[in-house]
Amino acid sequence: MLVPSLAGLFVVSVYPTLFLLRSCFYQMDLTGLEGSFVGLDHFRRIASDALLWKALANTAVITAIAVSLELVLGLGAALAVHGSTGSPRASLGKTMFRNILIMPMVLPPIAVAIVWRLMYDTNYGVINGFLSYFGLGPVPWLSDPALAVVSLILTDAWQWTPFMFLVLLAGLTALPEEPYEAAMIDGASAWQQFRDLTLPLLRPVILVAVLIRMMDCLRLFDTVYVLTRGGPGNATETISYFIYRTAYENFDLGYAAAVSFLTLFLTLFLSKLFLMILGIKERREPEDVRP
Amino acid sequence: MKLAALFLTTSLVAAAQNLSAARALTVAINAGVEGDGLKAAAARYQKLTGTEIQISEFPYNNLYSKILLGLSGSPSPFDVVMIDDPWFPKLAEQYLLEDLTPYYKQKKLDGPDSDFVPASRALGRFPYGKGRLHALPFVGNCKMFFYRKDILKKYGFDAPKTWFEVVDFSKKIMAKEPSLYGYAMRGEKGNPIVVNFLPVLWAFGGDLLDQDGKIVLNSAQAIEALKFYVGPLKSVAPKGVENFNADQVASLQLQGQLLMATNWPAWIATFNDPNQSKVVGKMEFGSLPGAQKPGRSVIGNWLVGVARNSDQKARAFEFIHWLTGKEEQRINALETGNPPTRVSVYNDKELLRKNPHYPAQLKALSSSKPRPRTPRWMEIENVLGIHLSQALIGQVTPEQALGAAEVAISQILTRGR
Repeated sequence: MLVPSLAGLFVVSVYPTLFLLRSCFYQMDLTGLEGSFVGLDHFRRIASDALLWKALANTAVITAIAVSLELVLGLGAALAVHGSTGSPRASLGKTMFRNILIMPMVLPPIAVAIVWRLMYDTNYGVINGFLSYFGLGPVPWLSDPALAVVSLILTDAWQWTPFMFLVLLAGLTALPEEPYEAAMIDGASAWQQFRDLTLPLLRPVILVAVLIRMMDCLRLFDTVYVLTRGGPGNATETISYFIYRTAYENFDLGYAAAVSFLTLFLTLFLSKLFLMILGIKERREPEDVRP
Repeated sequence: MKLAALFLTTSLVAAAQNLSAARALTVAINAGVEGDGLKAAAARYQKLTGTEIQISEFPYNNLYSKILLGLSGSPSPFDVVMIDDPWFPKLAEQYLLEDLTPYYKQKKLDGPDSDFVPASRALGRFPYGKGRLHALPFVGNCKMFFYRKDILKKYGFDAPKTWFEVVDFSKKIMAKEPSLYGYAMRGEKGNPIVVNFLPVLWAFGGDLLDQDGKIVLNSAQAIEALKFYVGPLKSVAPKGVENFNADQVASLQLQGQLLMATNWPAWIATFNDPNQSKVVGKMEFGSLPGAQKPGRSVIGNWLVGVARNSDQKARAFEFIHWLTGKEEQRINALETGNPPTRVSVYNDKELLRKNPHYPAQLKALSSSKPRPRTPRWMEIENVLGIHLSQALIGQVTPEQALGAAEVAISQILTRGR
């Protein structure tokens, strides 16, 4: 039984990765995959490619802000829903709230982005239409370099905050009740309970949720493709969009492979870093929690 | 045993597919009004000759990579492909398209007849205009100047002859009509801004590559052109043009909020449709303004070619020969509004009645200029589009933008492939 699954793994995973590695050292396009050997040329190009470094910086900024925003909003919503226990009416409200909140997450990102693109439209968009009632705007949501980044982050947060919410709500539900009972007997305020109990207990869940969202956000593509195509200029070009442009608009497959490899390493490095933090906290946790 | 059965089934299926492929011609088209024209034509051809035609439709953004990949395969999954003209040099350079001259020779002809608009016919040869013949022009698109003749007339203006007049007229009219914008560029990075800026660059006397394919972009004329584009011209444009594509430009103009724009003639039918347009009968469609030099339009024809690795090239040629013929071009123009590529069709009485702008369109097409005919065009356009967009949003000066673009483009031209 092991042989077919290993063979399958080799075909769909090992071979493509090896091929990608080989491609990093070749110049080639879609008309022939043999290409010509160019040694380390692509990596030299990476070092001096201003557009690539800007794309990396954009990706870092968007990921950092979007994931933080999603964490704060998601945690807030999860706490609100988790706290509202009691009457049957409250639990019905809870179910409805949860279902409505999950909706953005199950929509296809392309469809979400198309709707947001229409809403952001400078002249006919509903957002500027709304602002005009207050005598504001028109705001160039997607055509100003700084605002375009904000618009991207808002769209991403709208779609993926529900994910944070779901994971954190599950985490909250699984927390033990005893520490809270003890804290209440000791007269701890709600804020003290949150700071000294909920946050430390929830830390592993938060780290995992952030890690998953971060890896997702680092390869942000569909929203960029629809909303801005990386523009204006290269203000919103992410690393995934850069790779797409290089591979499928310029047909520069070797260079695209080299940049993909760089991205792979960056993602691996960041994830490893996160897991290390997570591992240390897990070992320390029992000492912290035991009264 | 199971494996063997599986193998047998797949090879049977493959064989069956091969059999049917020997009968049907497969044509790769773009999803859009030009592709729809070819689809309708294919149905007519099937009725006429009995040749079965299978259509593979792709969105514009994917079509180029699909046909590049397909044509490299052997046998090619497509027998006939629709090609946007800037893609053509790469396909022809790599000899992925069949040389069509022998097929004309068999018909005792030298090549495509002289009824084709010369500017369109020249696109199908590599090197440009005189080399091997690899494709025929199917849709005769070229950029045209869309303007509100009623409002210009009201203020005593004719069609602007220069880009300076575009700005001048806009300013004077905008002062009296606050709800109107003067001119809207297609400012989105990449292809839109490049195609929109090129006529301005040419009118100011600048260019991208010279006749030997050497870069001449960073010239005094080009800097002046870009300064004008991001300065005076942008000052009469609506807010948000930095990410406008053809559809945003057209929708503003269809709503009656925009005086002038450059756009593809495929939009003209929409402008004449009372269900979609508030400006029916108020528009005029003409040639592009000039500046130091006379205005020239950018050509953007759709070509059709035969895959070199196709196993039914003779039948594929018969189809595209018929498709670009006089009668079929006339029917296509009547039914879909797609711009023809033949002089006689532009002079057709019935079509002229329906399309009073045809003489202007033929004039624009005849005097149009292609984007540089280099196999590296897509890469050049890609990077130039980013730098032009950066200049349009004011992140860099026109000098910086053109300087950086020139460096990047010369790197592309020297880099091997």
